[in-house]
Amino acid sequence: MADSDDDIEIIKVDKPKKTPMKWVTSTFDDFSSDFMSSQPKSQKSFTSSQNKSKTQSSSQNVSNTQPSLSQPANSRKRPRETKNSLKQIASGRQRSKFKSTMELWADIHQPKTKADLAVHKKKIEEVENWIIQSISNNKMGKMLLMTGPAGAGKTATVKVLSEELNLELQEWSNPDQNSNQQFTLSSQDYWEQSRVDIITSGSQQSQFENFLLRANKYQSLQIEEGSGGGKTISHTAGKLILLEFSVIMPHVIPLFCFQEFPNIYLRDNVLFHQLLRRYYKVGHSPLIFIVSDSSRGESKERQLFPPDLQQELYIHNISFNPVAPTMMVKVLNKIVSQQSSQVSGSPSLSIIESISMSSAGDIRSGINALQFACRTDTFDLNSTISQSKPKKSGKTSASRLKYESSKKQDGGKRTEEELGGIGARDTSCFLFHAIGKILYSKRDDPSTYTELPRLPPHLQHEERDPLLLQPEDVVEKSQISGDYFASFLHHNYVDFYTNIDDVVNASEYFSLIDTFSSQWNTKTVLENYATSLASRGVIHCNTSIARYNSPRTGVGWKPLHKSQWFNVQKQSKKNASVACSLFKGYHWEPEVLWTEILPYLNRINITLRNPAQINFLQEMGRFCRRETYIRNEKLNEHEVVDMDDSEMTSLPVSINTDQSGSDMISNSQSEVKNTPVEDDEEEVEIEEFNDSD
Amino acid sequence: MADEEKMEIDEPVSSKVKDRPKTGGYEVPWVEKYRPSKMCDIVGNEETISRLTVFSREGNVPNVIIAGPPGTGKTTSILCLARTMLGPSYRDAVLELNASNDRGIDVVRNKIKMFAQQKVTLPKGRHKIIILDEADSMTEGAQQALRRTMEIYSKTTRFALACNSSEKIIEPIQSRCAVLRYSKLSDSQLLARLLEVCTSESVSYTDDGLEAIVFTAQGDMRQALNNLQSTFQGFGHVNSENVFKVCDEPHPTLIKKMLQHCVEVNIEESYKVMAHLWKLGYSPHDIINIVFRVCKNHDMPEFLKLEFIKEIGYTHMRIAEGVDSLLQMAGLLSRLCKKSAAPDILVQ
Repeated sequence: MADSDDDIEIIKVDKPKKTPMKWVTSTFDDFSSDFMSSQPKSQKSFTSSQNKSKTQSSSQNVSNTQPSLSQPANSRKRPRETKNSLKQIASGRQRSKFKSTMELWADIHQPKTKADLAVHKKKIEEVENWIIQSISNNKMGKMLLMTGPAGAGKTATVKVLSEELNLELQEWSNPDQNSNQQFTLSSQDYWEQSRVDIITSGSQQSQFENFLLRANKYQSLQIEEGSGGGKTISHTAGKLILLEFSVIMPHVIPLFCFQEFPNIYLRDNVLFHQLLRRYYKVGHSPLIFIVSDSSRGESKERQLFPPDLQQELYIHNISFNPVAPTMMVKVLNKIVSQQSSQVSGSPSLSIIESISMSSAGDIRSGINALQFACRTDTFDLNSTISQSKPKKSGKTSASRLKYESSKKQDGGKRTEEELGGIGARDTSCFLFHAIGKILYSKRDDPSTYTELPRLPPHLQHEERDPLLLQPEDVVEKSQISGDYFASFLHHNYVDFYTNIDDVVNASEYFSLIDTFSSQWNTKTVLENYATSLASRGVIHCNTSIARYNSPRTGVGWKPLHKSQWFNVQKQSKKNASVACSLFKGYHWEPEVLWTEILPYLNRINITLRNPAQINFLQEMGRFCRRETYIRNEKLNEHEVVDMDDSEMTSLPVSINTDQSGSDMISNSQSEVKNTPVEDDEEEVEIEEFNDSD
Repeated sequence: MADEEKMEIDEPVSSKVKDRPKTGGYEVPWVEKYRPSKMCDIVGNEETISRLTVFSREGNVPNVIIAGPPGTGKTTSILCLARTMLGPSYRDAVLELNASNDRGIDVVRNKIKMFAQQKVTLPKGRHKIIILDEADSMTEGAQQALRRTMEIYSKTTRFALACNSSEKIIEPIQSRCAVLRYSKLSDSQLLARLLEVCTSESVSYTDDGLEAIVFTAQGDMRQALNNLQSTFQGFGHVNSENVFKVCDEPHPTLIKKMLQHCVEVNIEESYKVMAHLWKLGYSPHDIINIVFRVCKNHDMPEFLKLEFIKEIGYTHMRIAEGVDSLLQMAGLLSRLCKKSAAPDILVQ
């Protein structure tokens, strides 16, 4: 099953002898410029740097340990090369253009220098300092844990830095699974696919272990990884081992899966921790772990690297924030200008901005969306228009009709709404349009309607002028689930109300929605009701916009915010698990432990030995007095403005680019204190409570 | 669902054959017969489709995720894209897997990877395509295993994922793809297509019949065509009664009348309708669904609509929990009537 492509990589990583290496490398470099068939993109840097740095002695060591590996790998490699070259000849015309048309923009535009990185400078510095420090100071077993959302530039940062510091970057990934291999279920999940094919005789677990420990033994090792692809960087003086965890454990998924897995991972974690401890004792090279968070699920970080372990092994933790919109716009603009030769009609600034919004700080998906968005040309538009005409003309206009009311930009250009369909991640700017439409909903002059259904006299106070839009349509267009939409509305509606009675009514509807969506077995059925009620309830209850010509005093321009509900929940889960792992001796339910016992311990100034416990306790015990904390994620303000008065404000530099990780934690801490409450409704009260606190 | 998707795979081969003169006997499902084979024939979501068309012409399509409700052309557009882009090498250069195929971690690790490693001679700028239909039904483990593969083989292989909800795709995958969202087809889009099919199949229809089909399909083209075909083949004529008979849904006009009675606080009349539907044997689930849909579009004061939806939601929740008696339905009607009833009316 071990297939030939991977063997090539083996050679790179494991094959140490200088001469064959060179041969391989040079051949490959040729290819890599225009036809890098299955080669991982990082390979290039790896090979070239390997030539540079004289790592001979170290590589030799490795070869000694695995002589059998390199042999078969080598022999299998040749046919591969030939195939490649044939292929290349067949398709190799127009080489120069070839590469750019063959590759994803996200690959072409990989950052090459620090300046290219769309990461906050301080973060880069932080990582750089850590690397320099740990390389220069030859203490053993230094480990760094990098966390952050997907596409925040974690891996890219490390790659760029290693290049700039002239460190060697090598990659390893998990071996292919052979059917005869014996791996545990968990190691299967744990180690997803592989880049380097090791001929395997043990489970991946043991391979992993071998690698790590071997790395220690022979100075120059390479790699490892836990669950994803890992990489090492080596230097003449020392090397860096980088582990990327692409797997966020399976239990993140649905609850029912959860029950099948825990034992396995528990076991796994223990093994993993033991391994780390051993490494800590013997390892020479700094080790870097990369773990991606997922915004909805709980990341693996806490399980793989519980705080006590972090403390014990002095694992340094650097967390990355999503890429800031301004930064993103800059990068996207640059790409557009570089690509302009191929792209007919480069996208307008507003389109780039909306892409950067919709990708929610994920630079990679931003670039992907850009590549997609740029692919249109007039020829094409003409043809689609002419093709759709004979069929039936009504349809194009029909699909756009819904959004006719918000202004379009100049003629032929695509508007942001239309681009919303190409939005990158789940939080599209579309969402903010939709919420804006609901909150600022417009009404029509009733006198233009001949037969308007009227309420009976006793309900006169509930009378409203006809709406210009169908709330359900708006939600549907936003393409997100009903309860998610409701949570956004819920997070924002209060600002738009002027009368406390209105707020009471609206919150009643919200609590109803919560009832509808609280039970998993009826949730799917009732989601539609939740959507309707949320949108209609919010519109209806706001008496200040009851008439088409109401003065709308309360409805000035207001920033919209991201719903904090999911973050808060995530944070609260995280805190609970931290509390449990740190205070193992206290046999309370997690909730009681961290909402009652710990704050109390903090109050009475109990003496603790473990510094991690002390830190955590202090954080938990602190009440946040800042008022700004909960509203920190303003997004797309200009979208709203844009919609209302057709005037483009410049992109707000709103996302807290430099909000440090610790800030985040303390911010959320205070919310978390109160989050045992189950329902959306209570969230408001939390805010108010904290505000006044 | 799985069956339908299965058919899609065979479709390219037989699409030409189907244009034979109608002979009776075995009839190909119209869904397949009229499945677009060119990008330009795909209905709806023009913006996205037009861009996909460019890619199909010029190649180098990024990894894409197409998310949207059923029957909006997700699979069709991917297949069209692959076919136009790859032309004759379609057979070799496309790997299609859907929920009916085994897509566990092993498959991702082995089958998909093997395919990604295969060499297929393609014109410049073209890539092999791996189509993962119904990607939201892949386990998270399998999705995780996919992410590195996607990156490593991006030089030769691109992925096209179709799913109903992009939320079920893990973020690292979303981050590696351009996410395209399809929305439900509008009624006019459905209608236009139905008219085309009616003409070419020489179906006799009435306007209200097509309207009924559009109503029952709710933006799902596949269902619209299926309903059209079954009505036509069952009754030979498409009018609204036949359509609702075929679809076995309570007739929305009845429901509409019922709601109007409620608005006018006429519980007796509205109950008569409900009892009638009940006697016809419709399940409470069906009834409540239609009630909700009709209510959303019913012309009534905003406040009442809001309150009606609320009450219908409550009742639906009870029904979903298993309390599906006629009494619940009657209770719903009385509560609906109460909404607009003057306070003193209850005292009598």
